[in-house]
Amino acid sequence: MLLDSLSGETIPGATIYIPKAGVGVISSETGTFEVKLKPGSYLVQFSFTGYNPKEIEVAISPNEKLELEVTLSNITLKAVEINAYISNYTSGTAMSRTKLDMATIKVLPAFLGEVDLIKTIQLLPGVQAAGEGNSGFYVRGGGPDQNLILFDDALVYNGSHLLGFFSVFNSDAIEGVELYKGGMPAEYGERLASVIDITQRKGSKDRFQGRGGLGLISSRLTLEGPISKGKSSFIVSGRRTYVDALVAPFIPKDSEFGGSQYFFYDLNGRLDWDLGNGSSLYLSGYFGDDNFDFSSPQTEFKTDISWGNRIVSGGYQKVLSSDALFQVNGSFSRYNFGFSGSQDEFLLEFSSQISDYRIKPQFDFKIGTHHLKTGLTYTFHDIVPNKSSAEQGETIFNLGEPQQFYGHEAAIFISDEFNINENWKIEAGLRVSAFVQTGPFTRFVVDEAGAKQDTIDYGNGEIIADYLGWEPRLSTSYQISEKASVKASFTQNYQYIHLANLSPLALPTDVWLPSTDLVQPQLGRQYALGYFRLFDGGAIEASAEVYYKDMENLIEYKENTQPSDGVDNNEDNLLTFGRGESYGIELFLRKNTGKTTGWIGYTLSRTERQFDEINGGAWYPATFDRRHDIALVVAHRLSDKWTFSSNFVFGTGRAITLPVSGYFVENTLVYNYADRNSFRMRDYHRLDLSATYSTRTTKKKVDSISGEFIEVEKKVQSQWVFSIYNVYSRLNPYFYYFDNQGEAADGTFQVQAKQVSLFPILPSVTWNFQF
Amino acid sequence: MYIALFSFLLISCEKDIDIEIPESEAQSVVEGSIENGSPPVVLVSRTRGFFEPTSPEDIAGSYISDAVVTVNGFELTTVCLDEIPEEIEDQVAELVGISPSDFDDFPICVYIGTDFVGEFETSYDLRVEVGNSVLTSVTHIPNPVVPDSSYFRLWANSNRFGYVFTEFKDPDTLNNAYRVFTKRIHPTEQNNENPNDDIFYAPFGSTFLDEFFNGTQLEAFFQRGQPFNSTRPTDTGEEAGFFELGDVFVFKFCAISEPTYQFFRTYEQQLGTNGSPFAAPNNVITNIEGGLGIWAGYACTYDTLFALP
Repeated sequence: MLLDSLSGETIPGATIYIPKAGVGVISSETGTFEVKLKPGSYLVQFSFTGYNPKEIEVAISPNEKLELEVTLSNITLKAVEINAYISNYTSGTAMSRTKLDMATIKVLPAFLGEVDLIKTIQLLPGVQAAGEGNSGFYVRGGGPDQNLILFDDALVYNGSHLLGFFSVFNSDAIEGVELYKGGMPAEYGERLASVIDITQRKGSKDRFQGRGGLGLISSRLTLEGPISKGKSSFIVSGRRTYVDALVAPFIPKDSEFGGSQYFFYDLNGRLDWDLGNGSSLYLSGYFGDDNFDFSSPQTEFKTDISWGNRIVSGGYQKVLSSDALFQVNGSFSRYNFGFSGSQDEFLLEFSSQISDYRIKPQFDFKIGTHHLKTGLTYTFHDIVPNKSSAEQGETIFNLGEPQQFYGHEAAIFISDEFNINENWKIEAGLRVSAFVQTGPFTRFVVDEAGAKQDTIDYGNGEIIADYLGWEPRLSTSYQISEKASVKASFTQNYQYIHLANLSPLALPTDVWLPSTDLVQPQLGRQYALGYFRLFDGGAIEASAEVYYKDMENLIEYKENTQPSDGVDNNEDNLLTFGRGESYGIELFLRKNTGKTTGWIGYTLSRTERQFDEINGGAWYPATFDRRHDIALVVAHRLSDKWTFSSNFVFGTGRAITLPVSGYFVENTLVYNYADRNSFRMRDYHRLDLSATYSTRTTKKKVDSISGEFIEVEKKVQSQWVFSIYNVYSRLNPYFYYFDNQGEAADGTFQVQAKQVSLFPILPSVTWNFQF
Repeated sequence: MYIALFSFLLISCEKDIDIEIPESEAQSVVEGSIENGSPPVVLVSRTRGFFEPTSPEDIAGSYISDAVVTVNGFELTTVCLDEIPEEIEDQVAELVGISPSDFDDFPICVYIGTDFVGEFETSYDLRVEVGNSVLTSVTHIPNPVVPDSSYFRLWANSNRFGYVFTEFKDPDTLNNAYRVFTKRIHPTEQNNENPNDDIFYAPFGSTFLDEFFNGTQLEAFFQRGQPFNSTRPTDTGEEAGFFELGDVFVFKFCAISEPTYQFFRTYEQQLGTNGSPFAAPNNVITNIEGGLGIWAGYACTYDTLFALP
């Protein structure tokens, strides 16, 4: 068991590595670990972010079971730190997983200096961003709604600010992130493609401290400390942009954008209590909004747009014994989007909202060599996809009652991780999920043209639709040698909550919908096979994984749907249903230790969709289908003061739909579009660089007792981060369009294809501090 | 609504690019209409490759002059614009939606009925024979909805510019659709220096349905209609989309059939979203069997208005 030297708390997630045996494991949630070794002497290495590494010599006799209790001591975490990271890379059943801590993420180049864990995840193979201006990301051919983002076990529905330019996760408040893109353990479900499990940092239980940063477009401040020393702590973290204030001087007051402003803010907090006897409690929260106000003095057109998340999460954990842990989490999560537009006496308002109330008890225990996890999850969904009102002077338009959907989602799960023999491990799991849509609800029955034919009213609590899903999971690894293994996994998932997007890009306006009597649950099956290998004593990890995934009951809006079509209608009446498949190979090479660290990832993949009512029923490439995807990430610590890093990304151009011909109506060109996503934009590639300068962390002081100079830690430590985004100013395409000017008949007509790119080279500087 | 991007678009850039677009099979296109009190008018053309030459002659070359067009069994007469007698140029221009000044440079032939004019509450079958293919459609002229009043009103923030407002009572039946047009004229000597419109133009947002105001009394306002992508100074400066004090204009208010509404709704949707990365590219919904385009029915009323304070 691993324990904190000060608090005596167990340390989950620490790395235990035995070089001689080439074996590594991660300590469990209870801080325990177990390794099987042949008789002999071994050096056991322990390491974990924020603790001094430790080495212990052990000797094991035949048939001996050796129990160790190891304490690790805290160190003051430097802002830039790359820790030794040697995992159970080859020996465990885990595949298609990557764990990143903030120390690794913080040292990488960041867009306008804003450290962003979602952007870093997108540098991993199998995870794709569609470029700037897209709030979604795509894992192994899954849509943006198929990623389960958990923040202290609470669901996050929109993980980004400003169309994906920034994530909602303040880097100062985050401990780390773990990504599951396949081989999902049974404790996770609810989405088809991935799990992004983000843990918020606990505040220090020893002393009051703070950290923050001043950047070009935003500033942040984090304060933390003990509530009761050694027993309880708090951490609170805030961030706000001031791009509105920076841009304001360049926009004349009487210009078209004279009354406009945009900003976002985040507020994170967490309280932790150590209740003694292995019990602990936490309460955490996140509040964040994007706000955009536009008012044009010229036309009196005014718009207010806002969207944001509200998350509250609480958890209790009890270590029952060295082999048993009970934990329960309860959370509330809400995402809402609001739009208000007015001009003269005309006023239009629109909003959508999803609220979740969730509880998840879980019990982990060991029986012999079997590590079992069992528990359940229950979520109540309250979804308003479309609430609209409009008025023109005294005329109030009849936009009907807002449609509200209620859903109960539950799952029970059990998993068992065990060894068949010394080389062969298995993690088998079963998750059984269920979903029930209940009233009150009004179903508008429509014909093929969308015209209402009938109305069905459901009463309060009345069951409208119910679904049951069996979700078997199997992961296995076979250790070929001390340094190499082969792993395979199968995952079947059901997803009962869906995102409907009118645009090819993921946007904050996209609407969440539950499964209903019309919308079947999405079903995904993924098969993965991988070869894993360690080099250089475990300092370098390498893997090759192939995967195949098929998906059913995917949703899209029918062609020619407009946002207003959902007014006074059931939003799911506008949908059409189809399927998808994705397959590919991912190569990954990662160096975790030494002065130079980083990784290179390459993905070759294909992702397609088929809907009977889209593209004439023919298969077409998904908009995020990307044949080649490369990411190269390198960080080099030159000295205690200077660290340099860079990342290079390359991706095949996004699939888009363009017109192949045109015709004139009323003297104006009408486009005749080709097959869906049958064109490609130019390839995307970009190089970013970053240099971090850390000021001295200590200063000399005369010791009052000895009278000699001694080194003491500075009260305030700081660092400068210099970043260059898009070093060679590549004009990557954001979108294409055809600019047509003039009229057909008067000789003024001309048409020209245009490319719009967002960001040329962008340098930035950020000052971070810690006290 | 995605002007939130504005701050970033300040540093964005745009450039011309060459895109290779494969040749696609040409499709026949119909642009036809029939209005109460007017004969049917039909233009027949073929789709054009995206980067084909764009001179008026080249574009005119995509129009078909040897089609056989019938409406309710009556064959329409082929009329070539560059051969039209000057005394009926204005009437033809109104019908085909092309300014008389462009007739000589845009020598297309159109099909105009000479046997009858459109009537309310009447359906009209269209048949177009082009080479070996036949295109068919049916449209309907509904009953008219006559506005109670229409008037010019200054925009709240302006002492010169304004919009046209109209008050009307929507019939108490669902799916009544409308389309409006405006045409600036100079019937008096007391107006300003703004140019005349040769033909009626539909303002952006001209087409709407009574889905959300069925059976109610409504006041709606519209911009001044102008050619899409117009380069006229009056359509590009501060008065773009506005009527100006002193203007005299005709406000044309039409009830339209449902297929006509669907075509022009998606037509305007496409015009409005061209170049937007946030909009899904969609084809315009046609009511032509065997081809593309529109066979539209209009029930229109006209009102001449003065832009007074």
